[in-house]
Order: sequence, then C-alpha cells, then structure tokens
Amino acid sequence: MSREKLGAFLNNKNLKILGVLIAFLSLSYLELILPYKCEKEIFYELRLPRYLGIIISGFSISSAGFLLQYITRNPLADPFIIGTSGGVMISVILSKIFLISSYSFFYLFMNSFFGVAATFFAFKIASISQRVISNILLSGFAINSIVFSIIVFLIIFSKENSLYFLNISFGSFSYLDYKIIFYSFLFLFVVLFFIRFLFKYIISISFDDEKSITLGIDVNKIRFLVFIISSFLTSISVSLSGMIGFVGLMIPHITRYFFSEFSFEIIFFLNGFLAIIFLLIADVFSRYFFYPVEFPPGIFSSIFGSLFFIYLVIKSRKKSL
Amino acid sequence: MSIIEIKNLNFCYDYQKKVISDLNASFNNGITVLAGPNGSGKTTLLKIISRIIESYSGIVKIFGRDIREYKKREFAKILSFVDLDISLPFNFKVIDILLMGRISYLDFFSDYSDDDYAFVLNIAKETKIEHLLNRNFFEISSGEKELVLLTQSFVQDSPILLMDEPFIHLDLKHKLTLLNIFKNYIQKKNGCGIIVIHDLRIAQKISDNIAFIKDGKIVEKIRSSSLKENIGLIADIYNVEEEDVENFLF
Repeated sequence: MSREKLGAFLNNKNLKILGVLIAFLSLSYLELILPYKCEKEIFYELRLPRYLGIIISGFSISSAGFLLQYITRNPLADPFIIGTSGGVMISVILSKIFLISSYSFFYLFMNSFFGVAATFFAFKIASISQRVISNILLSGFAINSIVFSIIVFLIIFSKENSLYFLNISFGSFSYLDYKIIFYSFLFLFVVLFFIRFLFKYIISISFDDEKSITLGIDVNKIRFLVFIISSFLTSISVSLSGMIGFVGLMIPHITRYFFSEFSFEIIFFLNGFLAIIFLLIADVFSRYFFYPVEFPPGIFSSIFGSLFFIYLVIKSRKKSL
Repeated sequence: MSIIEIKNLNFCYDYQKKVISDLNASFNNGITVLAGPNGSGKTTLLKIISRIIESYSGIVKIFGRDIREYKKREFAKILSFVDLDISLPFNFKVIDILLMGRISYLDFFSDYSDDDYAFVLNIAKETKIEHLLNRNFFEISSGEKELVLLTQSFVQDSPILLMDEPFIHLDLKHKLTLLNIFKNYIQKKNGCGIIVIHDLRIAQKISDNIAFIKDGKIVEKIRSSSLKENIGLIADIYNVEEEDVENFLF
C-alpha cells in the first residue's frame, strides 16, 4: 500500500462511522472483557466460541460472496447460488446421519470436499456451452434446489434431528466448540494467504474479460481458481454455522456503497469486518429479542439486512451500488 | 520485414457465413487505419490478431513468429488492444484500472511495486489525466473514460497497439492532444498501430496507410496522403455516390 493510499484510508468519514459502530458493539459485548458478568464457565464454554465462530464464519461467507460477484461480473452472485452451499449441506446431513462428530477435522475436510465438488460439478455442467458465467448460476441454483428438497424431506422424516436441520438451514451459532474453530481458522488463514496473490487478476477479470486476455491473463484458469477458493470459504462458514442468509449477497453491496473510494484490497477486508459486525448485532437480537427462546440469527440477519438493503436501493437511485 | 503478417486467414462465428475469408495482409511500422462498411470484419480481425478469438484457421505472424507460439504474458508485452466498448458491473478507481496495464510484468506472487506506480504516474502526466487518478470510474465523463482506457494501454508499453474506434467521445482539444501522444508513442517505440476508424477525415490526419476491408477481405491499401485520388475506390467500397464522398471529405 502506497503512502497516499494510506492517507486517504485514514481520512475517511465513513471509516469513523465504522469505528463508532465497533465501539457500540464492544459496549454491548462487555461480557467479553468483563468475564465476571456471567459465570466464567458459561463465558468460556458458550460465549467465546460463539463470538469466534461468528468472526470466522462471517468473514468467510461475505468474502466468498464478494469474490464471486467480481469474478462472475454479476451483482447477484452469491455463495448460495453457485451450488457450493448445497454440496456442503449434503455433507452436513450425511455426517449427522452417520454420526460423524461435527467438531472434528474430518468433518470440516469432508464439508470442504463436498462444497468444492459441487462447485466443480456446476462449473463442468456450465462449461458445456460457451456462456459459462450465466450457466454456472443456473446449474448451481438447480443443485441447491435439490438439496433443499432433501432437507425438507429429512425434517419431516427424521424427527429427532429436525430442529438441528431447521437451525442449520437458517444459520445458527449454537453448535460450536474450540476444536472446530481452531481448524476452520487454519483453513481460513491458508485461503487468505492465497487470495492476496489473486487480487490483481480478479480486478482485471471483473474489469473486462477480453481486456484481461490481452493483458496476458489466463482468464478461465484464474476464474476456476477463484471459484474453488470461494467454495472453500463457503464451506468453512457453512460448517460452522449453517446457511446464514443475506450476508454473502448484500454485505458486499453495502460495503461498496459506503467505501467506494477505497482500493480493492481494502474494500475486501472492510467487507469482512462489516459482515462480522452485522452478524454480532443479529446474534444479540436472536438471543434476547424473544428471551428465553433463541432464534437462528440467520432469520434476523435476513430481515434486517434486506430492509436495510431496500433502504439503500431507494436512497441510491443515482449512485450505483 | 513487416511486423504483422497474415496468411490465408479464415474465420466464422457459429457456422454462419464467413466473417473473414481468405484474408492476406501485412502491416509495417507506423499507423494503419482499417476502414470499411459495418459488418465487414474489422473488429473481428483485431480480435484475431490480439488472440481474443482463437478458433480461426490460417497463420498470423508477429515479428516472424506465429502468435500461437507466444506465451500469454510474453504476448501481452508486445501487443495491447484497446476496446472502448466495455461495461463495468462495479466501480473501480482510475489508478487501479491504469495499474492493470502493468500486470503482464508481474509474476503470480508479486504485487505492484513503487516503480509501477511511478511509471503509471508518468504516463498519466503525459496524457493529462493526473487529476483523475483517485476518482471513481463511474463518476468521470465518457471522454475522460476514453482517455483512461487509452492511457491504460500506453501503460502496457507494447510496440503494437490495436484500437477499436477510439476518439468517439472526445472533444476537439482532447482529440488533438491524444492524436499527438499516440503518434509520438508509435514513433518512439518504432512500433505498429492498427486503428479501426469510420471517420476518414480523422483517418487521413492520423495514419500513414489506410487499408479498406470489405466482406472479410482487404480490398485495397493506399497511402493516407493519396486519399483524394481514390474517391472512386471509396465510393465503390461504401456503395455511395462519388459526389457525396467528395462533399463529405473535403
């Protein structure tokens, strides 16, 4: 990052708003800093894994959405639409049925494998014709519909697991422990390390396909690589918390709306942070709004997010999202 | 020896009629304008030379070497293609767009260096778009967008420059500055510029040669200075009256 860029970064007004938001959140999360407010055991066994899970899961899923929107040049692209999440959900269901612990490394590995396989499958179907990009959205959508039918089927037939399936298909942070968080953090770290080198190519491909070819970029190869990476990210998130609606699609739009003057790398990280903050808020609501009944935070994130997004669409008739 | 040599080039989109049929041509140092009626295959020819279209038959040689033999990044260093007909789904900073031109000089694990920034800044000064560097692409005028895209290909620093209908949105002042910069660039690099232009008045000012293309074939290649003597040819190619051509051109 050059010096001028850093200067522009620190002087931004919207960034201050972000700071205020973070401060506000740390207030509502005083229990993190002051463990004596709740029982120590409860804090370390329930709360902390939950926060860490939200951070890793939120960052992964919104980054996946962000990358997919740029690489497909489509503002409607979303991790749940290219088939990845469908694949991971199959794996989650299978491991529940075959009693594979959802805290093991194998669980995460199997989920990623299914997620990548589903993306690969959708990509291969799409590559049959010339219009790969619009087709992958269609074939991924088909895969997801199949999986959702299976989930509903299972909810009806396997009564003992039905609450779990319901929660996980709307996103929930109740099924976490330190082991799975550690493993997924490792995954995320490796993936982020790789993404750094792809940024320059992603910018160029989302700028223009043909221009990228004449700039010496192997467009199909890079595009495939980004698909694989974002399906890893999606797998991490879905393994931790199920399918959290809205975050992967809308948060990138919101980030671009507020921070359009920054360069790509910075927007990428801000996007992840915004998703974390947003999910933390949704989490507070899901726990306390109908206390003592707890709702999947995915429901709240969908409602609030969509309303806020509609507000932005109305407000920004001129400024493009 | 000519820089670009094309032999027996044939191409068609999806089993339709041939867009390029049995085309033979060679392009030398200096600026050549491709002109011809709509749908005659001008843009397609540019796309074949710049390796965007790969399913053609025939041979295209640059610097005596088949373009299929070049590595992708190697090729990007000798040829750049400016297509002004782009639609962006998302907003970008102008500086990011310009930096893209340096991408073929980087390998997978490296990032833009301070030298790359300095290089871009230098060329932006030459084309007088310094003040746009930190702006967003969506927020600048269409003339400025055109300037940015042209600057991007100057940043690529290649001896061969292909352009598809440039200068449409530019006002007179910008047109003149840019024509000069473009001419100087080609001269300095001792390179080869091929431009598709419909306006023959501009074509005459900017180029050394004009190649007329019709029905996927290069029909005639003339010196730009001899445009006046070839009014009959022009009328024939565009299917209009000679009078009209004369009125329009002079």
